[in-house]
Amino acid sequence: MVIWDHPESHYIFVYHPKVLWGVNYIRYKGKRLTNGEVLKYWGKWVVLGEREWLDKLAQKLDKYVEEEKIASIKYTREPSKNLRIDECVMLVYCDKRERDEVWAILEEHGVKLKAWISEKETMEMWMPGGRLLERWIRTNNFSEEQAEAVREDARRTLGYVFNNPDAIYRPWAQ
Amino acid sequence: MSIKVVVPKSLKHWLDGKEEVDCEGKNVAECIEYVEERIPGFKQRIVDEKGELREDVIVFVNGDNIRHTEGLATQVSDNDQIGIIPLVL
Repeated sequence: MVIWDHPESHYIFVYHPKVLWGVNYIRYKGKRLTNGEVLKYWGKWVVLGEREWLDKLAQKLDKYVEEEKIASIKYTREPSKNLRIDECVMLVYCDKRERDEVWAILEEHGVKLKAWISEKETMEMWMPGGRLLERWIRTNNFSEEQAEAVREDARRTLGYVFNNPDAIYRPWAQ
Repeated sequence: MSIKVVVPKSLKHWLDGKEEVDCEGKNVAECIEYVEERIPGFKQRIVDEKGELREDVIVFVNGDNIRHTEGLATQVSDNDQIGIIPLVL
């Protein structure tokens, strides 16, 4: 079992235990990816579903994570309040060069809607001016000072990835 | 010719209570029009008053976000899937 369910986290994670030993799961054929490679290749299949169904799906996908056919999975504990849906969101991470094999696994387990989002696109949406960051700021009714602090943090964290393409990519805690 | 439009369960009211419907068209825009003729109101969920893709939805053809292909002009063919989700990430 490699499902990590810590109530204090917004997400429930499915990742290989070796991640706990410091092994980075963002790899392709055993090699860690640089920031540039992450922007080019890394991404996730997006799966929407009710929590109970996602819990069952996570249990079925668990073995593929253990076998390292799927890099990692995370899904929301409950539907986000600022979305127009009642479903939770599962993200199934993999390298684009392996996404067809991962999709075949998902399809075999009942996922119908095919939705791939690259990590680059997600990061762009979380950069200052990006659709997701600006919506998040509005939703939380931040003061302009707080909003600027949030933007600066995003600029620094995500900007590093865009500005240092040859550095090994390091995910941050969530 | 059959192309499927698929939405998540919580948006099935967009498709008159269904999670997927068949449609016809040479591109995404034509498929949206096809569905609109049968389910009035569908188009305005996807396209704004300027005829552009709404900011709060993501449309995929066979998994690929059409913002990175040709947008609403992205071509489709038999057995393709047009997936639609809200902006969730």
